[in-house]
Amino acid sequence: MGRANPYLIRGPDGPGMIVYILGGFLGSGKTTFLKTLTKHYLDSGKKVAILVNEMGDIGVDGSTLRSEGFKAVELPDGCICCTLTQSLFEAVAGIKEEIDPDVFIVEPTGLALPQKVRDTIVSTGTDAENIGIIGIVDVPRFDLFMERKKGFFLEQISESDLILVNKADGQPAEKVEGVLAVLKDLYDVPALVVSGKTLEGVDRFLEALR
Amino acid sequence: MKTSAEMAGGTAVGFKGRIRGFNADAERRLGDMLMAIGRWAESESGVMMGHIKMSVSTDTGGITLNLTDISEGVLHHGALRPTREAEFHIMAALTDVDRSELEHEMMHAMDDSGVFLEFDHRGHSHDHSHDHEHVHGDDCGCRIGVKDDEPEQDSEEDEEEPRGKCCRRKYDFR
Repeated sequence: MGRANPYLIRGPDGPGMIVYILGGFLGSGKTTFLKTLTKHYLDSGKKVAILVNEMGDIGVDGSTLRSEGFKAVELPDGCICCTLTQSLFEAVAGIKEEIDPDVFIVEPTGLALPQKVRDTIVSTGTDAENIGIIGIVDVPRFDLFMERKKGFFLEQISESDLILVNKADGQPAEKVEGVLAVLKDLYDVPALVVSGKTLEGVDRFLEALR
Repeated sequence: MKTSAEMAGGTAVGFKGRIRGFNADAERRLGDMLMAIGRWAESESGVMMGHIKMSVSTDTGGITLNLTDISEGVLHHGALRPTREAEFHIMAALTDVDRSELEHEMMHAMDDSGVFLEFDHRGHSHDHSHDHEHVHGDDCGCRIGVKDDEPEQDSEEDEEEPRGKCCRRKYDFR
């Protein structure tokens, strides 16, 4: 299946539920952007549903989100892109029926392939055009991932509709440019330099969700 | 067909329970505990790839400790006042480490932390070079921990010091 929206990700102002899938390797900053997106849409008066997935039988993000006042569905003990596809299907169907959100944000594990998550969500009857994959890469560890996990790492972000080049704060400009150059060579999608920590570039990211 | 975790060479382990006597010192110790797990992962695979996270929370707030890069250290988010009891969750999702060994190292790191962590009931089963699995701390009758050249002890001594402890410590799962 090809990318739903090759240049910009659709925002929640049109009809139907918008789904954002946050993809990226372990520790890339997915949870930080999950919170950023959720706060943004809640502040805009949108109804938001969150689903977080943990590889282990016990996770941390669900309890963290709940302690910060977010309502999140947690699917632990497996991966929603492969071993928990049925659980994901049922959870999405339940969320649509019971919450009927404007925005549905999914954070798979850092070991998931987000395009497979998208395929399962599409199978619930969700319009593929309303699903955006936001790939997040970690600048400081980009070279390490390319050296040690290149095949998986590149496949993980290969079907992103938008790539966030995260943790750019404090990194040499040439390193950030190097990451952007590699991504530009490989993928025909926009890449935004951001920092979940300093919030650099976050406004541009939110503007891209139109 | 491989799962995505298998494709990435990743695994994850988590625990949850209650922490007694949380304060600034406990928070510091928990940070050190995450670093100990991270350093073990680094020693195993050359570099820690993945993340180790912990949350400590009550009804009034919570903190999250997050380690993704050993050189950067543990990042602390949120705030939690000193409290007699709080809930904790800890998980490590790492690549290129053995799941059983990771679970084992996490148990030891938690035990060594000096923080009173009371686990929700959960069996901790691993092999530890055994040819079978059993629960952490159980006497299994095998000879783990006994030197190869050490002669078999007679049955009377066996009763005094049982052989075959799964590892050097016992854990109290409540």
